[in-house]
Amino acid sequence: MKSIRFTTTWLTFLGVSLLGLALCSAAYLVARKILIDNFDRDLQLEFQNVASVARVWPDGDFYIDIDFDVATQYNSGGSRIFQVWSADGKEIVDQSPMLEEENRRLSYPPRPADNKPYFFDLQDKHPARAIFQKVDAQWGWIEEQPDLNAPEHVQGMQVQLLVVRERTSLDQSLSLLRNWMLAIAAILPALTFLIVYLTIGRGLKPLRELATKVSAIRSSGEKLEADLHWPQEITPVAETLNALLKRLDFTLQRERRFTSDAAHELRTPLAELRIATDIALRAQQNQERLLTAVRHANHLSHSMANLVNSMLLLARFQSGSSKPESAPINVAALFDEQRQRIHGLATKRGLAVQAQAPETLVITSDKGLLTTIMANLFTNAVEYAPLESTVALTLSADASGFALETRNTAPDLTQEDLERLFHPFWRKGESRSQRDHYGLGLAIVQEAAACLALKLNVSLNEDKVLTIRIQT
Amino acid sequence: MRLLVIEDAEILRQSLVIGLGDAGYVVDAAADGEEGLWLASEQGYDLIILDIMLPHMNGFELLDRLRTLGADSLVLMLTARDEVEDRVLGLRSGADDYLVKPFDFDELLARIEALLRRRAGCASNLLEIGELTINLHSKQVSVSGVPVSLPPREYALLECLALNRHRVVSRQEIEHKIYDDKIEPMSNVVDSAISSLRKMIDHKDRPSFILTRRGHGYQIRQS
Repeated sequence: MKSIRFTTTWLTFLGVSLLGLALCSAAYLVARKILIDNFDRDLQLEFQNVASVARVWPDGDFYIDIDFDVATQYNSGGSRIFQVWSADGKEIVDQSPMLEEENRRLSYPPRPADNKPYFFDLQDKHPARAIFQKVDAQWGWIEEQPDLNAPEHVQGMQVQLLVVRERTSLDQSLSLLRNWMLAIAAILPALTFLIVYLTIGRGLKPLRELATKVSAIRSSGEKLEADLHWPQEITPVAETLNALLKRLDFTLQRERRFTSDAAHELRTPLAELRIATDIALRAQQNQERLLTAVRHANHLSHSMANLVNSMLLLARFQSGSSKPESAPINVAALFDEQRQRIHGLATKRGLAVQAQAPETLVITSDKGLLTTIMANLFTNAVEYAPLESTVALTLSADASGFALETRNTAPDLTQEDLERLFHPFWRKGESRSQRDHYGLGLAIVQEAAACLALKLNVSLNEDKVLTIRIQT
Repeated sequence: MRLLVIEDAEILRQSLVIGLGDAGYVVDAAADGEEGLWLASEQGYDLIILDIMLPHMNGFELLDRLRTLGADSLVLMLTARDEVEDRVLGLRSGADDYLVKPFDFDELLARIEALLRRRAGCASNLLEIGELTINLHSKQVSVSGVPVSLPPREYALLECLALNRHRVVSRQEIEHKIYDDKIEPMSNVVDSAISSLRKMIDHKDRPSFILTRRGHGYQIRQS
């Protein structure tokens, strides 16, 4: 399982590591270039000093006059060396005393075509940095014999001068710089890891407290108590959880009420079944009584099966698992079919049924759900209307589809009852003597209408006429 | 003993009437609250089996009105509602017992017997009056330890006298409790039954277990 704390810490660590490495590398390279440039600038100044004391004499003799102050470091025991080649590079014309004493000769370096100063690293006894350039030899006689006319090749003599300086100090600086950068690149991510880990841990503390409070909730009726110390990011989570708990509680209460009501509804027929069969079994020699008990049991089983089927239908609608189909239906034909179905019961109860519908009205909907709605609405109107009263059933075309309306007198209903009219198992009065009237019909109508996104309205006028209207 | 069943579920009502009749009770029945209240207040039953959810008037209201009218019949409430609040309300409304549907018929009989027994001041089902022993549950009777087989009507008469042993029971009360409404008012069925019962339980050389209080009725002999 992913951990916010570890994931964030590791990602931050990796990010800071890469960023730190990049920044340290860039800083090192920039600083290195600056140090080397400074070193080369000093080296070039020294080169110029040495070049300024490169002397040629009228007889063509050439040497570096290291007795000048500017070149004293090139004496024996000095830290710097030089070597001079003839202009064509074939002959070494002078060397610093150290090279002469050690009888060493430096290799002729490759020189670029132009005559710009050429800097390069040189591996001599020690790592060193060198500068190489062709320079003009200074006339050694100019101060003492300015009028001396030396041969032309002497006057225009050029040499190639190589000046070498040990780079130990530069390498030490570069090494120190590199070590610091490496240390920073290593320590920064480690510190970042530690800080982020601890900070996130502290930041997640309210979340752990929230989890503890949530785990302490034992029923959907409870709610999370707000903690004033919670950060503003946690409060919406707690509020959302409370809203969820409220919704869950509503659903659970509804389910519990439904289950309780269903059990309640089944108790009376079960009691009848048990007592009827028990009484018959106590007098098994009485065949008529046994037969009556069997008839009762059969009747009750049908009744209970109807109840269970209605409950299952309602539960299916409420669960949202019923996916309505969409096909063209002649709703007028369906209306007529259902009107004929209730005709017998209406006649038996002496009711006058006023039906009004167009000959044909085709809509796109789910035939099964529409049949359920019509069957329950019509049955409800016919069964609950007072004897010898009038029931009106109307189907009409609507701008957006159709409108279905049932009207019947309901003398016992009040305005307050309208809110409960569609509650499962609700019936006016407490008696359950009307078998097969479980108070589920209108609840089924409501859920089926919701499945089809139909509008459902109910009203009761002053004359106690109940109107239920369903429309698209 | 005369019972009234007030229950709107038809099959249950019919079955209770048959079953309780088989158990030796005289049983009347009503299908709604109004009829039940009328019968209960007019007839005076030993025990009423009362459903709560009834048409026209629920069981709580019926019981309340019955007690207001001064009826002291035992009431056993019979209902599908099993919440504690309902039981408490029923018992506080004046019910003597409470039974939740579905129930066992034997349990109903046992509760009826227990209620009638308590009303008669008996601690157990075995009622001993001198040498006469009556088992109210098995409905067996013995005299001086010798079992005596009594037909249902004679047993019901003996039980009625035994449960009301501390007072004189009038002939009309016996007719009401033992016989249904079909007997003629001036018939001598009670006298005949008393005579028949005496022959079955009395010794020739001892006084009768049943005393005749002229002009008042009958009472069972205490010793």
